[in-house]
Amino acid sequence: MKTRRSTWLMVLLVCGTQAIASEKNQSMAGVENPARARVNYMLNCQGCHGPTGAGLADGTVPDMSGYLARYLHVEGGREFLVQVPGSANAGISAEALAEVLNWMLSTMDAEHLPSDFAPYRAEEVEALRLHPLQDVVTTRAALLTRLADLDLEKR
Amino acid sequence: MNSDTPSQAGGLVDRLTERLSRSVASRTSRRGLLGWLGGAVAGGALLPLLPVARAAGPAQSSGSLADRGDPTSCDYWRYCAIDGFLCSCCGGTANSCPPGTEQSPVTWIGTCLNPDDGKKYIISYNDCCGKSGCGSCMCNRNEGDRPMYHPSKSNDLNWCLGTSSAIYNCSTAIITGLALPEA
Repeated sequence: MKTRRSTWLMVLLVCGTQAIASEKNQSMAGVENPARARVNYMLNCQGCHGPTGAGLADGTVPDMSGYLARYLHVEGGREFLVQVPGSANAGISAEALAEVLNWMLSTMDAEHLPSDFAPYRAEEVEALRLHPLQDVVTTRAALLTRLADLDLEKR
Repeated sequence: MNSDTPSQAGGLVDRLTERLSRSVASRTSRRGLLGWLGGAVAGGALLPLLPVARAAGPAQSSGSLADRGDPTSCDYWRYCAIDGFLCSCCGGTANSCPPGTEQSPVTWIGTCLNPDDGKKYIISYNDCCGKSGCGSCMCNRNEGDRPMYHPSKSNDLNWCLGTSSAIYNCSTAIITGLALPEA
């Protein structure tokens, strides 16, 4: 019995180690340090967006999980994710913001990442931050319309 | 009807039960079972005492954490950036709201240094809402607090947002994770 039990333990251990290893090896495009990206998300975004990006049930904080990367499919969407005040005004460097955005896209909505996705880079983020949005609500509404049209085209 | 049938069936059940009991007894030890059961019961009972956040969603493990201090005292390490009444003095705890109040899902998040292990932890100051101000244990420490024009980092705001009532009662200080050393 003991031998059998230890065999099972070995199997479990090996499986566990492999699971951890594969999690570590799973690279996210444009994310040099996932732990750092997660902490930056927690400190700068999670307060409103919640630990999973689900936002608030009443929609006043939008649900980003399973949706966020869709913005990359419409014109202006890529820029919007940097220029939206929560991103643009976050008290972190352009490098850190680029990493957080890439981490969010891969973590919250890998499903909708474009096949040719080019991760955000610090230079791009820096440049976009210099041009804040004049009217966030209107810009966002226009993007959502484009996203809805995109869905219709796919049907 | 044969009157012997029930007793024969009874004998068969007896024999089967005996054989099963003996085979279980020969393969297991009572001490082993007691030890395992004791471990499970004691371990299970200790689980709710572990100092991890349970209010702020998944993947909130704080690892091995020495969390010493008096949660009803403003000097408690987790309160390094709090501004409000301590829920620990108001019928709640540092992690949970008093009965009859609702925990705000929108919160402000900062870091505090735990003097026990010298590490910085991410603390979520979720306000409890729906009853008038608790009035006990006012605590105003402002490490990392920013002016109101930087709202996501300001503790002067009423963080009763996303709740059914915007009336502030008290504040919690929930550990949501380990921060980076430089954070």
